[in-house]
Amino acid sequence: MVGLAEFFERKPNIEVVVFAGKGGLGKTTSSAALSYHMAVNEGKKVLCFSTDPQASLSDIFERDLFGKGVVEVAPNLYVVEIDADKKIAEYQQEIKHKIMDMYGLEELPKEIEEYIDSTSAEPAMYESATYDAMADLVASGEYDLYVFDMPPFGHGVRMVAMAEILSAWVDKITEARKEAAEYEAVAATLKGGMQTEDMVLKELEEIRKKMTTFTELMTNSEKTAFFMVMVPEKMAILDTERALEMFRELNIEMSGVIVNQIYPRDLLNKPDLPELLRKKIEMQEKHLLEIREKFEDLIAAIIPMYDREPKGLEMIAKVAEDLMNSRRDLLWW
Amino acid sequence: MLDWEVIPIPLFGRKNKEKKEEKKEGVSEALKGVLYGFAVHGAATAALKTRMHMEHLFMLMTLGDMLGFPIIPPYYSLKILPYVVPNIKSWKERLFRERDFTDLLSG
Amino acid sequence: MQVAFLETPSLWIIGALVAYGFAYYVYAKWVDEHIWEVSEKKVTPAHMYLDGVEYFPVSRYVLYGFQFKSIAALGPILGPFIAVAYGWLPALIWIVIGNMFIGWVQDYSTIMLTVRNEGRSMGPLVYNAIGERGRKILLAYLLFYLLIISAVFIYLVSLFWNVFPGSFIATIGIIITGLIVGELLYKYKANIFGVTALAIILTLISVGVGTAVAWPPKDFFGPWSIQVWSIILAIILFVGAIVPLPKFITPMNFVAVFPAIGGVLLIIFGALISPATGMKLIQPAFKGWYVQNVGPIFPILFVSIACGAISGWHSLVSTSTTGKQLDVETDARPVGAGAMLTEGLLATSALAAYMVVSPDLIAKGKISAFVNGATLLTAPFLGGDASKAYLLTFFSIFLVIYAITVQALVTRYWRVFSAELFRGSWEWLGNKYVATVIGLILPIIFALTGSWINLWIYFGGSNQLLAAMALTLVAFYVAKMNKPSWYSAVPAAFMTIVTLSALLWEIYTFGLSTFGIKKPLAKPPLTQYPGAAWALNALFFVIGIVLFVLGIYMSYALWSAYFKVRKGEVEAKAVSP
Repeated sequence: MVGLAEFFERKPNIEVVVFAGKGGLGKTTSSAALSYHMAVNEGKKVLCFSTDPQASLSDIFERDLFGKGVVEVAPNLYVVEIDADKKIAEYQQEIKHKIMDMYGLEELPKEIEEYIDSTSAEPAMYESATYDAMADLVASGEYDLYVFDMPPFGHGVRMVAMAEILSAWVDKITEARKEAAEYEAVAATLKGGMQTEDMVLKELEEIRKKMTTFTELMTNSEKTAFFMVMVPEKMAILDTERALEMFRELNIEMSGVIVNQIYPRDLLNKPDLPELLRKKIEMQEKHLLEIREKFEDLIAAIIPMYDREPKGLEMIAKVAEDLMNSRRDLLWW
Repeated sequence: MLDWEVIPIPLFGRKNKEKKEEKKEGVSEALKGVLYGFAVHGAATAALKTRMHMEHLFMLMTLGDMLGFPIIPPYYSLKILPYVVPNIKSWKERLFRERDFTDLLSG
Repeated sequence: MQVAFLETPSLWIIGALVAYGFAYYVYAKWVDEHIWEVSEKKVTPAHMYLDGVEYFPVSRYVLYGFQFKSIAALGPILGPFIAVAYGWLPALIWIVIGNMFIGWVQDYSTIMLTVRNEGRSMGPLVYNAIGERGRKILLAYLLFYLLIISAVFIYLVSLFWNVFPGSFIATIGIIITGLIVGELLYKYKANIFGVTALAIILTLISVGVGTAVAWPPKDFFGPWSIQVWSIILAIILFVGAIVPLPKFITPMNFVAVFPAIGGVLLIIFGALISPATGMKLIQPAFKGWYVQNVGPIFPILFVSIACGAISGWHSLVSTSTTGKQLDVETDARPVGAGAMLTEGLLATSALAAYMVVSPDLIAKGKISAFVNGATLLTAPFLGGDASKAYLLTFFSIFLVIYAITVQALVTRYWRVFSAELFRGSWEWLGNKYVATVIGLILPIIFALTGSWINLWIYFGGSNQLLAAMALTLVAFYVAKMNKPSWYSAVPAAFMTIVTLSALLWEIYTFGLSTFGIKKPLAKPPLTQYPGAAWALNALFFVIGIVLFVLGIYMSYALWSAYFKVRKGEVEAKAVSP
């Protein structure tokens, strides 16, 4: 099997596709290509999501999308490129206003303000903000398919791991909170007073609900597909192995591996091939053999090295074709 | 810079009201107070104290990084922060207050 | 039959009321205004550190009720029983004098200490006066103290269960009532007034059922009945100390309050109307300076009336909770002095109950005399002979329930203290279950001798010694404020001497048996096992020495701190022109 078309035939109920892997290997390109294919060729309403400001969807679709919210770049094809820093800043602002409104303050206590501001420095804040945005989008259920170009941190599977940690944390905290509320109720009953609804518990329940819904979707292999994007290079192979390990630990099924940037082998037949390129192709060949040996059943698609940068709808359509039905001639084995 | 006292402590805001009523010094109010103190006050205080320990745990889990114990990504702590703002000051005070075995006696 | 007014307990109750009124309206007022110079304007810790949990202002009525409930344990009821062994007059004199000049002084002043020292409790107050070692020794002392309280209460409940058939069943009924009340209040959020009514009805029904069943009979478990009962009690207490507060202790406390209030009011009322009901004083006013098995009137009389005249326990209540919740300084007198003098009245009325029982009940050392006396005082206006069986069960339950609720808390404190003491080393001893089991087994062993009076004197001795320490501490802080400290220093000196002497007397008593000069003190069935009886006597000897040594250290350290402050003042004054 080669090509994602076959995969989607086998799993027609997929709602979420996640492309994971190190930066610069073609994740964003693959995301854009799949989204394009599903929207333009199959008429699905697709949302393509990216956070990575470097290899950006803006470049690929040749429009400034960064931090602009959801933009329709082609019929049925919607793209959102999250500006996580901006989102965090807005979120902090929202919290500050909420506190001031709740307690009728004109100014925040300095300590609280400092605490809120200090959170932007946390790397975890960036991750959480991204995941939260993803969870929100999926929860909206507006699209037939969600394609996530995962940020490079931790292969993107960190998201699922974190969902688990957060869920456990919400459990613990809810428990502590409930117990505290119970004792507060005891005190209130004894005083003959009434008890107010615990807003914190409500908020916690909401967080947890969002989290579990999202995690359940993510770990349902009928609805969510994870693809690792890699290139035939030693580092990428090691990296993919590590990622597979992580997936196993988290009980997530890795749907497949997409091998990108493959040089057509028939180049080797060209007598005037520069020595450097020849060496490179021979090297790729060696690594491809290793990839075949290690991930054979997982290889889902093969994408060649193009003579141009993958930019613009036309070029993306071409990549999409390769992604969905990979060129047989690249498979020399 | 804002004074912390401006933020009401929600649970106990009613105390002040009680005090005003007391000024009437009605015999029945006094009797009710004595009976309440005799029968219930200790238990109510004990319940509040247990609640305080739970609250410690809760605050530590949510806002631990405020004191340098990072427990979870602050993104979600921030969501809860508005509701616990009034408790932060007393939480920190309680956490750092000298605590003796003879303080444990009540209840 | 009309009885001469003078021959009834009524007059003495009225006399005590007048004395306590004087103490409250004249003496306490003077101390309040001239020594502490209380002011409504001074900010109390309840406002300064308001956290709604430990520190929050509470109305003086509520605080008075709380303080009274916390200090009025069994002391004022059981203490006069032992004191009356010397005749009722010495007991009455000590209750009145102790209340007027010592009891309220401590309770009120320790509240003020906490109020004026940022809400600090006993431990930190001692630390500030004599340092870390003093604080540690206080902790060790309190641990011993808790064990002795536990021994007293466990022994008492077991004794009552054994002596009064049906009291166990009534107790179980009330415990079940407590569980129902807890569920209704906390789980189903039922209305508190309805639940209160239900609690009272179920309590009365429990007493009725116990009276009707009147089973098991005395000595049901054979010669070791009291010990078997104490193990049954220990199991109940273990569960009570382990489960969360709102599951057992809080509702039990709540339920226990109503028979307690009712019982006290009934006894006081019975004593006041005794001229009409024909209840006469039949105890002799004075029996002698030395009583066999009890000891010499000095110092034993002064330590035996534990909470009714002065009690160190109160200083712990005052500094751990009340002082932190005092709204304004001017509330300290009604709360601290008011509650103590009310307790004095309770002790006086308990004494009245003993005045009307036959002298040989007291002479036999039967603590159940209280139950008989209370029944005698109240039966005439509650249905006469027909209600006697019910009242007997009621007044036995009255003590038992109170003892169980206090003991459940004491066991809990022991556990918390152990966890604190064994932090870092020997941590397993601070484990929740281990500590609770130890805190129950040791008192049962203590209570094995069956020597109720000696156990009580150890309790009184350690309790009053704690009061002596608290009073010395007060004198120290008052002297530091440059105010006349005699009002606390003189009672402190008296209590220090009395309690150390009482401990010495007990050490002497158990020393005699430990070193084989006399036969070990023991009651059947222990008398059949001389080896075990000797071992227990030796244990009591050791306990006495430990308490005495800890007490001497604390007294010495506190008194030298006090004199240092006074000397410092004198020198300072001498330097300035």
